[in-house]
Amino acid sequence: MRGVSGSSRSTFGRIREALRTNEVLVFAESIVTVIVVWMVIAHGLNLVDSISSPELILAKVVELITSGLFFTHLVDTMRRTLFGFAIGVIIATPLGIAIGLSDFLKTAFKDYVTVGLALPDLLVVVFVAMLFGIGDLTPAGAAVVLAIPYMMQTLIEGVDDIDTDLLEMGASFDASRRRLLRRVVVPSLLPEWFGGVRYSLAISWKAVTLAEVVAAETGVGFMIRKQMDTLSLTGAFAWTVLFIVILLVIEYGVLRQLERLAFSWREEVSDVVVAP
Amino acid sequence: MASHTDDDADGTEAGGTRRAEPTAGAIHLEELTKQFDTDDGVERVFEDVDVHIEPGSFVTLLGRSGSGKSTILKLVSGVLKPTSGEIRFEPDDVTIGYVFQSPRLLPWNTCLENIEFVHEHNPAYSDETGREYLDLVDLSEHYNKYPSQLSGGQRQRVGIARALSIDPDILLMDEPFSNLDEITAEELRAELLSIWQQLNKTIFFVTHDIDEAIELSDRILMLGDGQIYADLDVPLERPRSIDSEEFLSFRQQAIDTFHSV
Repeated sequence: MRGVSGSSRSTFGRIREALRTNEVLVFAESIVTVIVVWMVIAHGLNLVDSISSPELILAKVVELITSGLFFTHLVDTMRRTLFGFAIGVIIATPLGIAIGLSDFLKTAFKDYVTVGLALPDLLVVVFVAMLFGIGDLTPAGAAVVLAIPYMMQTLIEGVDDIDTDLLEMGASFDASRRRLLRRVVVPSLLPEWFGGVRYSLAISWKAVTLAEVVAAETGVGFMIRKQMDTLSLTGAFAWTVLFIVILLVIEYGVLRQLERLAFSWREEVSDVVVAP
Repeated sequence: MASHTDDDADGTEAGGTRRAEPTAGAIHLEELTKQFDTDDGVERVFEDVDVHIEPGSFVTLLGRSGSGKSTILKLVSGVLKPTSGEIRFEPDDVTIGYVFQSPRLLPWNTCLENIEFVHEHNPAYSDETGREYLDLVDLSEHYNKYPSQLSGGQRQRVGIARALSIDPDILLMDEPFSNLDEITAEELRAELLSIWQQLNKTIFFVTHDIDEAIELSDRILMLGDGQIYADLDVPLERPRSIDSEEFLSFRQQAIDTFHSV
């Protein structure tokens, strides 16, 4: 109903406005819509066996949680992910910065990074599996190999973005190389590094679960593979839903909070009061 | 603004704070030539520039945009090397402070931390010193603010405080007020003059604004066409009023000279 905006501040009017503009509510509405449409198509067209249905998935989710099965395998997957991701970041960070800062190293290694970025995930998993066999090392190793090129590329580009005016200012005040590195280069790279870390974590999750599908005996990926082997679409969905929930918890609960803390010096658009 | 005058010339101020002996350096540019190799060939910025700047004087280098005035400043500060010619200082080991056109503050550091940044080789530095210099430029309420929380004029003040905090013998200033609105620029010019008169530094100031040059300096060097083509002493007494007769008549002279090339 057009034209009914602003004038009525009744409760009803405010609820309606919230339903249309509040971020969380709108997102929830889209989820509800998907669920409803899904249920209607599944039951209405009798396709439950081929496309499953939300209430079945929910039941399976509850079962997985209460039986403890989800957490048993989640722990394995998370361990491999965090291990692989951490090693990848520890290796890629100094390497990426060093290459970004040196024209010589950049010319020597940039094609390696390009190739690394283009490697198909499954190929890497297969190679790593042949090296390490079935067990923890394959998923973690795959995560390391797949995450490193992204982290390095992020940092190499990040170094290019450093404000040379600030470096010139430091030079005009006789700042040593070490000083410039610690006080200008590294803080300047921090936002990009953080973005690279986030991206590397996402790549690690995917690498680990893919590797688990192919070459592990425990873990979320392995369990999804088992569901596939028993043709249980509902089960596959249930594991995936739970997995996504964990990802979101980490993103919003951990990463966003760390980001807020680290970058408190950045100008908040809402804080701008004085224009120069 | 806090008073730092040494009324009885005994090296201490009223109130007993001991300030360092004011020092000022001299600058000598001899047959200075600078050219750049560009994709289109050799670009000769200027050739055989000879300039001598007395200690404690306020000298302005006036030129149009692109005349090479910033380049001269970068050569003096050592950031660029001359193609030929010599730059000498008296004494040999002068400390040089640099104020840029844009504040060039580290956005992830507070005002105090930005000042501390240039004191890497100074074991005597303390936060006390940093606060003193921020007081000098009227930023006592902003020690722990980040640049994003300051206005353009305030950021530029921090840049000035930073340069002054190393107690330089020579202060190089590259169009420090040209990015600011006229009112803020006017305020900062007055503050700069006051600080200069208290601290007795040599100031080598670059600008394209002739009024600013006349208002601030003892002497105006005009750069154009690859050389210094004019060297005017500014005979006006301070404080200078931009609409006084003497100012306006000198201004006309200066403008005529400026456009003579």
